[in-house]
Amino acid sequence: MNKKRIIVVISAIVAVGIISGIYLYFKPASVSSTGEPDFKVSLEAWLNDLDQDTAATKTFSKYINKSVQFDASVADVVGDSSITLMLTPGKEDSPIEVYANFDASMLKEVEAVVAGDAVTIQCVCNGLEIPSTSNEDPGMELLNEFGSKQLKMSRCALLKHSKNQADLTVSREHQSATQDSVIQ
Amino acid sequence: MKKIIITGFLLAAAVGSAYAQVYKTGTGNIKFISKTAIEEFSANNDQVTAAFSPKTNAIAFRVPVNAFQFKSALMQKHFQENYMQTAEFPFSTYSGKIEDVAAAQSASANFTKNGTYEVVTKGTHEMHGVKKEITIPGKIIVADGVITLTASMSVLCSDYGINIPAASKKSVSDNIDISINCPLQLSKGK
Repeated sequence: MNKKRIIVVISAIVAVGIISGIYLYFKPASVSSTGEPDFKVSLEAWLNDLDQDTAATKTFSKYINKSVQFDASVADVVGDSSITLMLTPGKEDSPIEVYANFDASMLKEVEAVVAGDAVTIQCVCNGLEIPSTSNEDPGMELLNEFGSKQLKMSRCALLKHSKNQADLTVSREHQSATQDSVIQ
Repeated sequence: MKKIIITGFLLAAAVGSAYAQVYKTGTGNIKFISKTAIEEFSANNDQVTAAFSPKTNAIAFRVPVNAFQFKSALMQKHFQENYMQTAEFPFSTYSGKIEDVAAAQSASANFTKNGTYEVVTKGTHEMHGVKKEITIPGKIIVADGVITLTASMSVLCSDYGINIPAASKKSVSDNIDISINCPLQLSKGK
């Protein structure tokens, strides 16, 4: 191999390295969870497991920053810039509140979702908030005003959305929308 | 006489219930900015849990650190895995009380009247597994039943054991500017 060829090969390797570096540096962060999920769960069963596990903070760590896909019913829609769906935990007396946050850029996809609708979503888990056991810290006690546990998820993607059937029967303008709308 | 007693009881009950109120949200906002001479970047998080009691003047925040959204995927990954180690420390919390209680209470009648109230809170901030006593100046904005907590503050990464590698010190600031905006609604109870 002559000297010229060696220089060309080294230059090519350096160029590929620089281009890869620039690509990785400027690659935008994903705003929604896509692809095959790390976990596919039944929300009710999952929440039951988390609730019964007294050391849930530790066992939950396996879900942190992992994608989870599940079906749920929407309890409320909140937020201004981004949208958060508060999900029905399955059973009425469940002490876990479930928050699924959609990035502001996903607004168009979730704007039709209202309380009572059924959804299939895929989110990234941020953590399970457990109430403080300290009774000397008034601030932490305040946070116990929430459900006893809060499951926080973000970067959610709406995979399937079904309008609340009860609403459809009373709303003429929704009569044509009896079939599920598959987003992805 | 009977009417006066009944009215008195009703008034006492109303005042008592106002004092027992807790305002909260699970979807508050926090942003941070890192500025150095060669690079500036920010991240946004709409998953802040926050609560405020006008009765006790206690304020609390809980931030799921993993929910910070960056523009760059690489920065987000480094933030989560190398700097904040979110798998080990998924939440950052602040628990404090309004310092100038008397002034705040007399000015606001326990934050029941519409207005903007400058307050200073003192409390414990826990981040990356490190606890620190800090003071945060902020505003409590009362508008038609919604209480919004806003604050701006700076933290030093080095104070919380967050190690910035030498190679990144020119692009990642040790001094991080944080702004908080949490509109709170009256709690419906557990």
